[in-house]
Amino acid sequence: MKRIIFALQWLAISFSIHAVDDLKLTLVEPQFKEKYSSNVAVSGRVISGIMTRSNKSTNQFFIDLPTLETETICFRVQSKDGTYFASNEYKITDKSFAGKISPEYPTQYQNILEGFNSNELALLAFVGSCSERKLNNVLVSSRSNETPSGDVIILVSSGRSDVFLSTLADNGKRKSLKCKRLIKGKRTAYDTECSVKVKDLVLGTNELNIIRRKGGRMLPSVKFNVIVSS
Amino acid sequence: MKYAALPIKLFGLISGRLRIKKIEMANLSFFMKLLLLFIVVGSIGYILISDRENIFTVRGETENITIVFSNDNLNQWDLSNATLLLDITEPDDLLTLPIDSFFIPKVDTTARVLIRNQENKLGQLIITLESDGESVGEIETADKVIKLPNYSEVTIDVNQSRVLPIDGYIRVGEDVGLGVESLLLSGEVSIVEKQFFRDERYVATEHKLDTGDRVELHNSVDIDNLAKAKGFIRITSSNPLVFTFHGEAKAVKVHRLGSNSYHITPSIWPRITNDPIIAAFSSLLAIIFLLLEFADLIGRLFLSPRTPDEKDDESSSISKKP
Repeated sequence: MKRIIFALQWLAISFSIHAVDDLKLTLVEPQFKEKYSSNVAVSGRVISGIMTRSNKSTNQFFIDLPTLETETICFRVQSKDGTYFASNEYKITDKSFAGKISPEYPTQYQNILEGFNSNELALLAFVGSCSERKLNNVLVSSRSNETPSGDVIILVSSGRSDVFLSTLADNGKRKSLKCKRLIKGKRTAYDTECSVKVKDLVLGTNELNIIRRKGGRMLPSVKFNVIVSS
Repeated sequence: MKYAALPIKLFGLISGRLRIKKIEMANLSFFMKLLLLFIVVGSIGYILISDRENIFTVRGETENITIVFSNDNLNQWDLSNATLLLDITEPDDLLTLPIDSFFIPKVDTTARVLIRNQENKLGQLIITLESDGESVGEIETADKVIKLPNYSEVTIDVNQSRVLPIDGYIRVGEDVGLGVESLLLSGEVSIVEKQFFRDERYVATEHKLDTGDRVELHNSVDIDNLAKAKGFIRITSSNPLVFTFHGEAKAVKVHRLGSNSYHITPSIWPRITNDPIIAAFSSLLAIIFLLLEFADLIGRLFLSPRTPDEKDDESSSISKKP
């Protein structure tokens, strides 16, 4: 009897959560766009993902959503080996909402997504349409609903260059952190991991800069804002 | 009359026991043969699949190679006339090293060596040094020691050939991806295996590498555990890097575009042709089979009891005699 009551409670809670989520972050187009094959073309962006580190390998994603004026955000998920790629636009129905939210994600590759560990799947949520070439305001994503306490990781497709993350220090000067080249496995979608401590980010907009050096010459730096709401 | 039949009965009894003994002997001999076969086949199986000491040699031509240095004294590189960058935020602040400048790395420092060949110009060797610690090592010149930070870049115009000795954990090539400019061009892996008893070796496997492969030497097939290797890189102007390294390992891991990564391990088949002990055991097995067949034939001719039909045939042939 207890089990039945528990099951009914669980169903009620999960339905209510989904109902609330549907109200806030729903797909713009009814067709969910994702691909899983060995020939997926990777996106040409330098930044592949910005997310909090999570030990969980779930297929449920969360976005730290601030109160935004725009209605649309793009959420992109890609695997390090380039086999999985999904890019979808979402509509924010409740603009006053701020906090962690799970986007609608009707994937048909649940088991495959669960199989990717914490740094094998890059999540990138940014304000605006998926077709926008320049990355401006990026939101922090995660694979867990827990409040982030460790690092925010930035996954970079550097083309095997040496990557540094430039952040603004407490004294107002910029400091450069060396990013770590990922070594294991195939690195088709991204090859470098930069990390910045959550406590080093401020609530609101954080201006970050990716500096790259390759084959003895500097490559154009990539500037973007990371928006933290919680 | 009562005792007259006794010798006949006794003869019948003795001959019957003898026949039973013959059958027991035949069974015993069969089990002995089986045991012998089992021992010989088991020995061959053990020698075939037992673990051997394998030396892996990887050689070829590449545009890039990555080394994580060990603490071996072999790791001293001549960086005469090189240009040194110490601060990434000041890319124009370069230091030119004098002749007889030697780089001595700290353990676990990673060196990424890249050659850039340019048309009608000297080739450029770019060495990126990085470490998780405070320093990648130091450069000793004739009059001073330059302590390097945890990231440095060395550029050398290749106007003469150089050899960089290497000892540590080595990765050759890059897996193809967006923006990748330098690759492994060609190469081969050969595995030299030790004979079972003697301290002699033979080439067990040779394997060609493709352009775009990424190659690592591993201590295990099941987990990622890089094996240490020793070798050198030869640098010449307007040519790719020529490398050779050797190491005791269990497998070479190859990352290849369009397929899952795979391991190159020594095959057991070359052992049959190259290891004399296996050849000897195989010959012994063949001889044993031949002898067993021969013994079986003799046993069937002389030891097996005759059937009643055979007896009838014999008696009828005697009665038919005139």
